Amino acid sequence: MKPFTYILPRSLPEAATAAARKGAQLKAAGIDLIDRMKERIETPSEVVNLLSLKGELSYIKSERDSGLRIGALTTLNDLELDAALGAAQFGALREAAGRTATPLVRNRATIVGNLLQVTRCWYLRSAAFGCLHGKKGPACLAMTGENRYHSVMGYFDCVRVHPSNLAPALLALDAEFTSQLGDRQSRRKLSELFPKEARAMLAEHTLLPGEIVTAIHVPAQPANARSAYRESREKLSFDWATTACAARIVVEGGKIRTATLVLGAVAPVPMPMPEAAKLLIGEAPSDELFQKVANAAYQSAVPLSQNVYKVQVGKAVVRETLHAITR
Amino acid sequence: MVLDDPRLADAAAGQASAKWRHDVKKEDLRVIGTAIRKVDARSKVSGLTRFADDLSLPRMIYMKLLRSTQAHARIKRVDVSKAKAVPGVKGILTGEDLPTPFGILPVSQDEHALCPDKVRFVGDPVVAIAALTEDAAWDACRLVEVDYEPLHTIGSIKEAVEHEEPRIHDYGVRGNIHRLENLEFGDLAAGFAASDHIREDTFFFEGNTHLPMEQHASLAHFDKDGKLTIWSSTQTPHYLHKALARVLHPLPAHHIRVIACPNGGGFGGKSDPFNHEICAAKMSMLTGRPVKISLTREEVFFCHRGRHPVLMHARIGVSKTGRIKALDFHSLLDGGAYGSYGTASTFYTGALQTVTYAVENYHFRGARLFTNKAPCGPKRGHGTVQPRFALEVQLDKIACDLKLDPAQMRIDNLAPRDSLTANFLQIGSMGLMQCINKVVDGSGWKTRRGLQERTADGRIRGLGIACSSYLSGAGLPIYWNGMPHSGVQLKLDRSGLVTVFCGSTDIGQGSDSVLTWIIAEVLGIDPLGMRVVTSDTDLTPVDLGSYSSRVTVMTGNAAMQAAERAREILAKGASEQLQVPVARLTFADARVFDSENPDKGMSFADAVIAAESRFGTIGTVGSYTPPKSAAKFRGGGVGPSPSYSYSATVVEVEVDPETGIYRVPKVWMAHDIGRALNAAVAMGQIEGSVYMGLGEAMMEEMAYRDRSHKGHRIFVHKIPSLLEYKSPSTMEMPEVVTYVVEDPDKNGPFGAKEVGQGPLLPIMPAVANAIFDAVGVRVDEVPITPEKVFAALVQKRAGKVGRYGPDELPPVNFGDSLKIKTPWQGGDGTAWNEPKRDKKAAR
Amino acid sequence: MIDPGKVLATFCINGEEQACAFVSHRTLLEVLREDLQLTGTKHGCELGECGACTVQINGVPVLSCLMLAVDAIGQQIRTVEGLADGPALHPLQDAFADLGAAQCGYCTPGLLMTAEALIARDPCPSREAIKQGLAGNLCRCTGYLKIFEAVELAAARMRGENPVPKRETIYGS
Repeated sequence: MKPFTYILPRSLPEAATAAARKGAQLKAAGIDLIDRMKERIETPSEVVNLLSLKGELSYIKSERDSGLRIGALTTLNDLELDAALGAAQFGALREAAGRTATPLVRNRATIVGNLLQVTRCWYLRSAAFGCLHGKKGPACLAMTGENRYHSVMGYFDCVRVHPSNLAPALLALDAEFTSQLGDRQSRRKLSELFPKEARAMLAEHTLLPGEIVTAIHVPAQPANARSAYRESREKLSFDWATTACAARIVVEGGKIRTATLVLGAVAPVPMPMPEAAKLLIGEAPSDELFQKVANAAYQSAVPLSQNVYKVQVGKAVVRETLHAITR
Repeated sequence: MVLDDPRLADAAAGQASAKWRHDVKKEDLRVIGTAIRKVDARSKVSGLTRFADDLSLPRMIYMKLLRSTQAHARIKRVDVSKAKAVPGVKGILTGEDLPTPFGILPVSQDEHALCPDKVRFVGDPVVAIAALTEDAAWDACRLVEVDYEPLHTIGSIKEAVEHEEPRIHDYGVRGNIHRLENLEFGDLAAGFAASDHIREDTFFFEGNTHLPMEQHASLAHFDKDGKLTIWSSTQTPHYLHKALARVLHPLPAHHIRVIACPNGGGFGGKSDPFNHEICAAKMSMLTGRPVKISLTREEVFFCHRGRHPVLMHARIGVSKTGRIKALDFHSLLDGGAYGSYGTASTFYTGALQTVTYAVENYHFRGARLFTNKAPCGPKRGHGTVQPRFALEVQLDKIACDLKLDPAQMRIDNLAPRDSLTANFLQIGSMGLMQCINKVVDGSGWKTRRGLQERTADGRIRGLGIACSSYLSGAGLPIYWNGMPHSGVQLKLDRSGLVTVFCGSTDIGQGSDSVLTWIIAEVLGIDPLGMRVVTSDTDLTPVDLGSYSSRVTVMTGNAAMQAAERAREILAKGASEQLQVPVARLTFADARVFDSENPDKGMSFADAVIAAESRFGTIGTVGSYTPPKSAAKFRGGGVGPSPSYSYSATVVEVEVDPETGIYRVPKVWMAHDIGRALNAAVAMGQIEGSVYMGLGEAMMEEMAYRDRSHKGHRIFVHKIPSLLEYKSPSTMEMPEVVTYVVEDPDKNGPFGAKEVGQGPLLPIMPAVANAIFDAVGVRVDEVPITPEKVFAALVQKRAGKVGRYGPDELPPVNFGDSLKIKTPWQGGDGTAWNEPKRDKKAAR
Repeated sequence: MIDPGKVLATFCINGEEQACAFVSHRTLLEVLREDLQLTGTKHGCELGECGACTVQINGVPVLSCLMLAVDAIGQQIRTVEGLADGPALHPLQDAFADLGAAQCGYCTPGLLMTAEALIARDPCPSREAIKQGLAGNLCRCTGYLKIFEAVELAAARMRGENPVPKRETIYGS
């Protein structure tokens, strides 16, 4: 690691000011950041430690409308075990949190850290290669190289995948986020945290320099809503998803009334699939229906040279998710 | 009898050993076979075991290696001037400082501690820099300028066969062929002619690596007396000592002391002398300060020496009942950039096929190719794992062709105990039938196989069987010599303390404990009360190292001999004092007493005092040399062993027919280890083998990215990290039903054979066979990833053969075979067409 | 704010205050092993990928390789050195030693710290809970089975029971 100045802010505005300085880097638990700093992929001159604000930013609160407000520094372990997330409607978030990385990582990793971790693309993370997204090369190397774990849809000039498994779950639950920029706070839809067009030269999120995500809001869910998160991976621990799916469904009188469906690990951003979800509306849950939805979810897939298999597995994961909710 | 010099008392030792025959009854043993703690258990669970990286010395400096970013290139210029200027830098080494090549085998001294003129893979070290801090050394390395002239890169077996130029090394058979072997035992044509059914199959086994939890580390100290000490994570301190003596010449060998720290896992990956060890030693000589190097995980992947990727073709002929009449086996090994143990690896892909099943006529061709990747070497099951996969899957196919029960067909083919194989390997005890019966009965094989039952979540269940054998230590040392393979010294103290000195190295398998159990049994003392001094070339007699599963049998026999000699002396002293004949004395419970009147006796400590009073200071030695092999043909040196362990397994899988994703819920494993010296520790070795085998079967692969870089290709491991190199976690580990089968072997201490390499071998083929049982497709390639299963399912659904695997081997001219008559043809172990050779040169 | 360079801080490790001057960008793992000579805590990757460096912070097992040492100031740090009570091993250590759950012993300190927190939370963990709980600690020697059994054995002993390891655990079936 390169030496750096360690900033221990006493307030959010102070943190936001410090984070806006050139060469500064925000750190929560630092699970991903310290890793990248050790590899010298990242060499910030200043590190702003948000953990100083843990008292202020770590909480899970039930709101009056029975939605949830989750502090940015809440750990994944807290998310998995908190009673407020025990309800079936929040199943997707609880399951996604409980599956991330390893128990030891989940004991420290935070909800917003999970959303903002940098892609696992092995070209981006290897010192031996320079790629367009890493701003060290002229092109995306995975596009024509080793791309077994890369995007099958939603990509332009960079085929990285979004690594967060909380993101699809939170998007399926219509989550929002609050951020602090200077002394200004704003609340937006979580989908706006990710770029609309995931170009190589753009950052993986839409935050401005110095902007700090302070809370995630999971709004009140429709009555009788249930949600689930499932993923495929090569190992059951110590691994990222190869494909993921989160969905929220309301079944009334044997028919599906509303549905959301979001794919993860298949594109540079988490992918909401409203058209595929629409196929569920008004129908009775069945394997045949879920098969149809899975096919629709992957209809736009344009796999790369080595990841055709992701489409097959991804469809199975969609089915498994829908079965898990309606079982 | 001259008791004053126990080294001359061989006759006495021989007599004593009659008491410790291999088939001694369990109830007559006090230590052997029980489940006592390992001698180092307390320190290990307390975090007190000092691994190499846990050591530090005053004024220690830290070394880093600058490694090649090119896969194959000439070094045109190395400029370290900027690095020199970095504050804190204390020493810089380049290739010209260490010009002498080295390597583990005398026939392939092809490595340099720092590449002098050419780099051969991404990760080959070029410059070593030591500084006051690791960060400073790292920064300095980044400032070194190296100009490379790229050379054409050889990336695969096929490319190595097809491209004779450029040569990666200027030695070897020709082009990029490192080794070629061609051995024919018996009459292949006749064997195939007599066969009712012949099949040919092609297989590929991808490379994988050991992944020990401990990253290699070394601490070297060249002291003011001009003597060098190096503490290192090595499985073979003796071989490291030899390599250091060679490279650091004219530093005398007896000025070099190698101390192997307990290894945080080895599995074969710490068996070569490594460039970082030599650099640390040289750097300490240069700077006069202790020098430490701790490899990063990425660098551990560069050290590699793991499983060779092997392409295999097997043609097999069997009778109607499935008896093997002829086997023509052909393997091509991707050796990576250096020789390492590769010559032995090549032979091992052909050596042990005959030890499990009787093969009447056998032809083996093997070639090892150089490629521009991290060097391959010995990993658990060294070289025998890949052909075992091929053979066991092929037998399954034959059983399917002939509608035979694969388990019964294996039993019908078993190599007989106490026999010579077609390639002149001496089989002793052979408990494979018992192993097969155990796993067949335990798994419900006869009723549960072939049912294609569905699980609650829609997966299809299948069972697969496979067997294996493995060496209890290589019959020959790495370098030719007439000395013992293992030496043990005992020192008996007046306090009753017995200290054992031995060059063997504990890599977690429990070799320190093996020494204590054997000695404690013979001397009737508590093994946990002993002191163990191991793996220190200054203090301990040579043991060749912890590789090829040799420690239990070889070190064990040496310990047995030393203990028997000590017992002889003690018995003589005690006999005089107690006035009881030696023959009536029993050593047990830390006492020496009259077996007919147990009250009449003395404590063990008093027995030492009595003997020391009579004979003077008591120390004994023991040593072991394996029996001579019957194989006298060139190449016959690889494969012989004092005994062979046997394993049989049944693996259960549950396959999702939609995706090919499968899980392994349960494994039944039986391992014939002759005798369990410690039941719990033996169990741990077997379970560890199952684990590592499953990793290889399901996910592990040392795979490379092939990438064009400024117009030429380079090969980089796919992010050499513990995340990207997939290995099983607790969540993947199935239930394992373990059967410890004990068929004592006369060459083993108390009948013990190897434990812990053999049971890895049958896992991969059993998984493949189980997948076939479940969904009817063949994956003839390891690892058996879900994606490959899926690809085979797609083929099957399209009406084609449901198979995933390689189609053919690139053609290699193997020349004429050495022809050897089998024992049943009246052969004497020599090749009848082998040109007369100068014995010394051949060695 | 902490400037680059050395800082002087007091850590609370295994219930004892320890003052230490260390370079401010060092991880807790580095400070424990290199500045405080507490080498019982191991490293297998230094990138959070193996669990060998697990220590407890306020009773919670975490990866010391990904935690800056400055973030541990003022917290209760517990390492493998703090597990035994004087000369008496912790029941987990005893069980690991009895069943051969430590082969090379390199992953053992990390596993012990994870398992200790697991039993503290759940005194009667099921096999599945143990598998899940230890899923962040890699071991390449044992195949984990002896480790699972040792955790079960230790938990039973800690509950005041007098369990005997199963015959199959030690002698096979």
